[in-house]
Formats: sequence, structure tokens, C-alpha cells
Amino acid sequence: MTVWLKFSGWFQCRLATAPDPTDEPRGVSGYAHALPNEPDFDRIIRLQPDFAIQRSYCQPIGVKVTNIWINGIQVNDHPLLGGLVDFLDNPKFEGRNDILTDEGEEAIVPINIQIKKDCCLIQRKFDDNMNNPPSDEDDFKKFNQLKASGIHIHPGTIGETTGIFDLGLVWQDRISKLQADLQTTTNEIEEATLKARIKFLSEKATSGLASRFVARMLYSVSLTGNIAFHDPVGYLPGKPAFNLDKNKPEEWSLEFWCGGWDADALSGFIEGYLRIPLDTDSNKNLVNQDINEMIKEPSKRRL
Amino acid sequence: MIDTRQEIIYALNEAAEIEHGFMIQYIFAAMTMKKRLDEKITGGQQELIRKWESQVLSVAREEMAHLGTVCNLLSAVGGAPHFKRPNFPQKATTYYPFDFILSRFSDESLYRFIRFELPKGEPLPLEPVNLSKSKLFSLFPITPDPIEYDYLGELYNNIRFGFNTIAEDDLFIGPKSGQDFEEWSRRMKILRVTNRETANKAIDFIIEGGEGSPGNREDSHYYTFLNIRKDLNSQMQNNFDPSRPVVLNPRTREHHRDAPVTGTLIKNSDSKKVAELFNICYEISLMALSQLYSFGGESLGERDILRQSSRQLMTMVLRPIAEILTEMQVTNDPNDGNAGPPFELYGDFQLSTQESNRWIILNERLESITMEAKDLSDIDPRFTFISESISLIQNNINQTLLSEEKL
Repeated sequence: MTVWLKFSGWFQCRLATAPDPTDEPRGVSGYAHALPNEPDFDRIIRLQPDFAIQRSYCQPIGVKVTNIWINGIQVNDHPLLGGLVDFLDNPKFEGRNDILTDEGEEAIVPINIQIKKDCCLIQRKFDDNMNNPPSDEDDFKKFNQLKASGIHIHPGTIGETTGIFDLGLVWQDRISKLQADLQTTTNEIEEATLKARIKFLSEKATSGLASRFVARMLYSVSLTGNIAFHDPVGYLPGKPAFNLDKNKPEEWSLEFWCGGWDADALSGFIEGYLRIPLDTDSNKNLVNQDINEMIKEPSKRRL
Repeated sequence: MIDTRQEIIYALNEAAEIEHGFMIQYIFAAMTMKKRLDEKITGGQQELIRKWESQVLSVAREEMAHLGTVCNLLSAVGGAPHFKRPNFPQKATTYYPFDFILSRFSDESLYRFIRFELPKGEPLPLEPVNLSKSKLFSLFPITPDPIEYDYLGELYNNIRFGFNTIAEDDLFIGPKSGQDFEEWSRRMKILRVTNRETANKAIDFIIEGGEGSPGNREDSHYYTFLNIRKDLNSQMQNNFDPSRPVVLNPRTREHHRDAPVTGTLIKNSDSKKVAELFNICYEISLMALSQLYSFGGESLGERDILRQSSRQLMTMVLRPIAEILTEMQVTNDPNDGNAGPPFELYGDFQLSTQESNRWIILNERLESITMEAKDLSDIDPRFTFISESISLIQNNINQTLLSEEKL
């Protein structure tokens, strides 16, 4: 038996861009800057709003399960629909100014996906032993599996998925709202922040930066690492299947794309699929200490 | 008058030192700029300072492109790459018609930068109100012999005379393969030089980048610095100070035989360790650049990895260390000010005549700075990232050498 979960939504990643050094805290030479009222950049890819720095009039951060298929049949009223999807362990785009990958091929490291709804929690790592940054041949082999396949220009797909076919129009609307806020603010830092965003949006609306919105980076990864699976009320019709010959869980596949990059919001869109082979007869216990912590505190998402 | 090959080579060596020296002085000033609101700046000033830093660093990158183009000019006429330069500070009378000083970003430093890039015929900028001549030596040009020029553009036009005077077939003895790629990186281009026409284009590229052309100076370094100075002066009320209190000409050694005028000694032990690491990383970057431009038998793949590694060392290693340094104390007394990147060369760095030795030495040195940077992570957590980046750069070099069956 196989379950396919489809997920989508806006993520945030606050990072400096080339030619700044990757760990530049506020952004100087690239297009991305931490604004006066914002903390330093941390490069973390956030799929949920906790610790995201939401700028006004930008798309709300949050990635959820949108579709579910069990053995190829879509289940429209499945209880896991709307479940929160997260990448754990502070994942980052790893390219380091072309030292590790070329631009557009940045790997996401680490990969540890979690899906959570009510008391149901599903989680799996890409690998349990990979070092980051990679230090030996085995690490580099694994790292290469996490790389994107390059930049793909897909305006139709992105337009249909995000509902935004022309980012320039969205930015024009945003400029109007920010200008209105500027008329009423009396706070010096807020004023500086609004002015910086209006200037950025006005200058970049017609530049190549807005056109990055239609670019996608594609990822396809086999997950073989540690599993955490807790489904006390049976949202799924089984437990993760095991490969009996090797006495270890079968691989899960994770494919997704990141695109729709909004350089003002420092956010982009992610859409993907997680395939989980299930075994209806399994009695293996996949609850670990982390999961017990999660059950005690249902609002906690990051381990 | 420059009308022999040797005179062209001498003059290009001087041009290389000047482009190199300008680049360092611009980077130094950029690295001293304040970044955070807790450094006594307002939100509006923070945005303005970020814009200035970006502009100054952009000019510095263009100086690197000029330096690369000068190396191509040298190679075209049979010269060797020139990355040596005397330590800071240097009085105008000693080496160049300009004072070479590492000083923090201020009206005073902008005044000097405008003077560096000043086109002949344009008026000298107004002197800074608080100009301290005792600190900055004389600020008026004194012409050294035997190459006579008061303006950088003048030096290049003297070089142009040489290129246009000597018979083309006699002068251009460098092979076409001895020219670096135009696409140095996605954001930096240099020009190839193979004949008189391309030499003239290269000289135009350098002069116009610096001072623009009559009636069109808007994209020039000169104009950029004029505008930043204008912006800065409009903000000077309320004791606005855009830069950290970084000392003048910071250095880790009291004496340098090529820089007899003393700088400010970094006495705080942590700051000194970081400054020494910076200097070694800088020297290794220069070694990689020298190897790249020596055309000493390295394959295209090896040259490519040298080019990438040099760029990555500058961006991912030198710049973060410089930023860290400008927030560290120069002595144990916080009132004495902050340290800064000294750009010191402790000796004459040399390139081995044997290609295999060049790689061995580069590897050894990268390995040593990886360890050193790791050891400094207690001082600033960014050193962990810096150490990882150096190690990965070294790994990329070794992977290239393995694929070329040279390791």
C-alpha cells in the first residue's frame, strides 16, 4: 500500500545574495537586505510562520498538505489534509558562492521532513550519517543527491500554482499600500524601512529580479534516514513498510520544487509530493523520544 | 616618454600596484562602515550607509577587473604578473603621486578617493573641514621619476603612447593563450589583449572606469565617490559618524622595511591573531592570483579553479574576517579604537618555478589557515563557517588536480 501526500505553500529564507559572502549578516552588495527593524539574516528555510519575519503585504508563510492519494485513489476528505508540513533541523540552501554548487543548483541541507496534524506525526530524515558541510567522498555523494537540477523557467506552472501571473502588478499594489503607510507613520525606523522597501520595489519591478519569480529549482530525494511515526487514531491505513530482507524501512521518495521567489518578501513557493510505502500488518513501534516530546506539547514543531 | 618594451612593463607594474592599492583602500573603508542600529545610527542612516558600502565595494571589484586587465596587458608584451606592493602607509613622495593610507570611511577618506580618480582638468575637490595633514601626510601630488604623471589617467595615457609607438609585430610577443578569460566571474569582466587595437580598448576600459570620459563621468569611480561625499556631507549634522572607530593603518608588526612610517600596532592579543590570519589569507589569495596569471603550464581546468578559488577566498574569507576585525579592540583599552584589516605582506611572496611545487605550497597554506580559522571560533562563531569554506575551496582544488591526474 502506498500513500502520496501533496503539499504546497509559501516558505521564507532570509539570506544574503551574491556577491555578498553567504554568511553576510545584513546583506550589502547583493539585492537582499535585512531592513532596519529586522534581525540579522540566518539563512534558515522556514515552511511555517514561527520565527519567520513577515513583511507587510506579503504572502503568508505556511506549507500544508493539499491532496492525498491512497493506492492511487484521491481521498478528498482525508483527516491529514491541512496538516502542517515542515523541514526540521534548520535547513539551508548550500552553495556558498559556487564553492559547493553552481548558482541555481544549491542543495537543501539537511532534509528532515515532518507532517503533523492533531496527534498524528510523520517524520523522516534523508540520512542519519551525512556530515554538513560534506567532508569525505560518502558525504559528497549524499550531498549531490540533495542538489537542485538547475534553474527552470516555468511561468505557467508558477502562475497557476501561486495565482500570481505577474509579480510586477503585485509589487505595484504593494508599493501603493506601503506609500499609504508612509504617510501615517511617525516612527523613524518604520519610516526608514518603508522607504527602503518602496525604493527597492520601484527600482526592481522592471529589473531581472522580478523575473526570477518564474524560475523553479527542482529537487528529488530518496529518504532513507530515521523515521518517527505516531498515528494513534489511524489517520493512515498502516505503518511505514519495512524491507524484510534488510530489516530496515523502505525508502520514501520526496520530490518538490522551490520557485516563485519574491525578493521583497524574501519568500518563495514550494510544492511537492511525499510517497510513503505502508504496511497494514506492521506492528513495529516507530515512536521515539522526540515524538513523546511532541505529543506532550502539540504546538511544538521544531525538534 | 614610454617607447620601449621595458618602459611599458615598468609602467604597467606601477599601474598594477596602484590599482591593487586603490582596491585595498576602498575595501578597508567599506569594512569600517557601521551596520547595526546599536552603533548610534538611525534607521535612515543605516540604509544610507548600506548603500554607500555597496557602492564602494562595487568600485573595489572594478579595481580588481582593472588589475586583471593590467595583467593581460603585461602578458601581451612579455611581462609577468605583478601583485607585489609595499605595505601601508606610504607617503606620496615614496612610491606614487598619492598618499596610500588605510583609513576608515569618512569625508577625509572620500576626499582622497576622489583625488585618486580625479580626471585631469577637473578641479580638485574641496578639502575636508577637519583635515589633519599631520595624519595623512601631504595631500597634493608630487611627481616621482622616471614615470611622470599626476593623475592615474595620465599614467595610462603614457602607457598608451608606448603601445601605439612600438611596432605591433615586435611588441606583442605574448601568446594568445597567455590571456585570462574576459568572463572572470558572473559579475566581473576583464579584457583580453592580443594586439594594438585591444590594448587601446583595455586602456580605455580602465581609464573610463576610473574617471569616465569628458562629458560622461556618471558611471565612473570619480563620480561615485563625489556623490557619496555629497550625500555624506548632507548628513553630517547631529554628530553623525558613519564608520566604526577603526584606527589608522592598523598593523601587526611594528616595523616593515618597505613602510618606514609607523602605523597603529594591534596590541589586543585576540585582535592580533585575527589580523595575522587575515594577512596570511590575503597573501594566499595573491599567490593564487599570481599562479593564475603566470601561465606556467596549468591546464584550463586548473586555471579555472585558481580563478574561482581566488574570488572565493576574497568573498568568503577575507571579507568576513575584515568585518569581524573592525568590531574588535585594537588594544585592551576600548577607548583606543578598533582594529581593521592590515593587508600586511610579511615578506616577498614568491611563486615556485615548478608547477607541482606551486600546488603543494598552495595546499599546505590552505590547510594551515583552515586550522587557524577553526581555532578562532571562540572569538567569533563566523570563523567556523570561514574555516569550512577554506577547507571546501581546498577540496575543490584537489578534486581538479585529481581529475587532471596531478595529485
